[in-house]
Amino acid sequence: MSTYLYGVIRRPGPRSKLTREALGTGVGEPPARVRMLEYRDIAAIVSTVDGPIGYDASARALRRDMVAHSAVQSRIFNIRTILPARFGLMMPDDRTAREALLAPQYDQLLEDLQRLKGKVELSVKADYVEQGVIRQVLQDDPPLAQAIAGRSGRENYNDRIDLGRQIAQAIRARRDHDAQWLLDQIAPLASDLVTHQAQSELSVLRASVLVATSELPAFDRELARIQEEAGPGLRLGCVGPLPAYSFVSIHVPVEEDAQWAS
Amino acid sequence: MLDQGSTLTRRDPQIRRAPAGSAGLYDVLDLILDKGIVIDAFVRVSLVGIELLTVDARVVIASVDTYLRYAEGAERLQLYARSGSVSLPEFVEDKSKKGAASQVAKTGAKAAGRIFNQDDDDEQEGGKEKEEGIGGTLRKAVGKIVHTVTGGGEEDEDDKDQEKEQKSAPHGRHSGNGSGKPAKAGARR
Repeated sequence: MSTYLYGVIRRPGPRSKLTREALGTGVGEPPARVRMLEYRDIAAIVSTVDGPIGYDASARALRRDMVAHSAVQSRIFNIRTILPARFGLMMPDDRTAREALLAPQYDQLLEDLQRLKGKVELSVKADYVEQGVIRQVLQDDPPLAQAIAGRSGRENYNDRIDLGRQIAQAIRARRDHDAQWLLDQIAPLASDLVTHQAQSELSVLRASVLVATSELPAFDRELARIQEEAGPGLRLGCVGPLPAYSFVSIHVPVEEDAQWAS
Repeated sequence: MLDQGSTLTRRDPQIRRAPAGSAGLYDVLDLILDKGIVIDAFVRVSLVGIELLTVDARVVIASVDTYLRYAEGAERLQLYARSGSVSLPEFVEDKSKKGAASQVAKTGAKAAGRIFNQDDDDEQEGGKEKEEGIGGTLRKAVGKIVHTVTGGGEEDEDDKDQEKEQKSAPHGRHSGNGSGKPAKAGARR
């Protein structure tokens, strides 16, 4: 038996919408009841897990548990601010959850909850559309465009590779510039913003943006404007609102002398 | 270049923000694996693979969501085909005999078939049902990785027709990734 952690919230009052029903069930098979582990003014969202979670059970279980994990978080997120936990945090028991997380991190948890109150994370990504960006590259580089226009299409292999390499270089050169431009456009609307590692050649920007719920309509309008200005070579995408995964500051390192460390 | 603007307005009149949940697991995968509260002492959770195989596992899970999308597409197709005499699974079998597309389509059709049998879209219940169809695919794909890394194990109980699928399953299912998973996983051992 262990205690699986989904996140931390402010302790709900007696009239909270966060009922037993709203908490629902979580990871594991069969899925266990999600419950609150209260401590002073905060509460950890947990469920009891009996047996392996994720990969240990099976690959099917891995996905099922990931879905359950994020489903619990988003159910609670729809009702109140939650500091979401990373997938797969399992503690030996409730007491450990209090002693390893809630008690020692109490002030920080409260501070994070206060800072993120009424705010949501939006995951923003921007990718080049292959044909579109090639067209823009050629548009901005008349000599290159002319060089291509003068070709018969029957050049040898090496020439074609060389041409492709020039285009790739031009795309790379645009990328930093375009990413910065995007950030400049988005930043004024964000309470906070972090960028993530781009994942592919055509990926321009991966960012998480912290936005006040009340600002969401304005953000959508801005995003539409940015998309329009960016043109067809760049495709913007946005997912959210999400719990503020990227803006939680709680990271408890391993302490050698910690009494719960086995 | 004249058509650029009009193409854009026609195709993308507006960028739409996808509500969380509608987008599938893939969109939150990086977040739930990398962000949020972390307590190092307890990240030991039975994610045998995740630390080692993060990228591969993500690719596999991402493709599951792709399958789900195909399944939805197949479902829509089925709605059109319903009045006709050919059922979708037959249609798919006939039209695509080989390659990844066939595999995906079959998976999709199977999942779609299951989705048909339920009429509410409650996330929890619905997800469970779909898992029957999708899970097998996921398991097969991950099974290979796990096998390479652990040198065995993860021999899931599987029903017959899923086994059959495994035989015909092509290696390069994640062609977008550009490399075979087993080789990659092995290299990291």
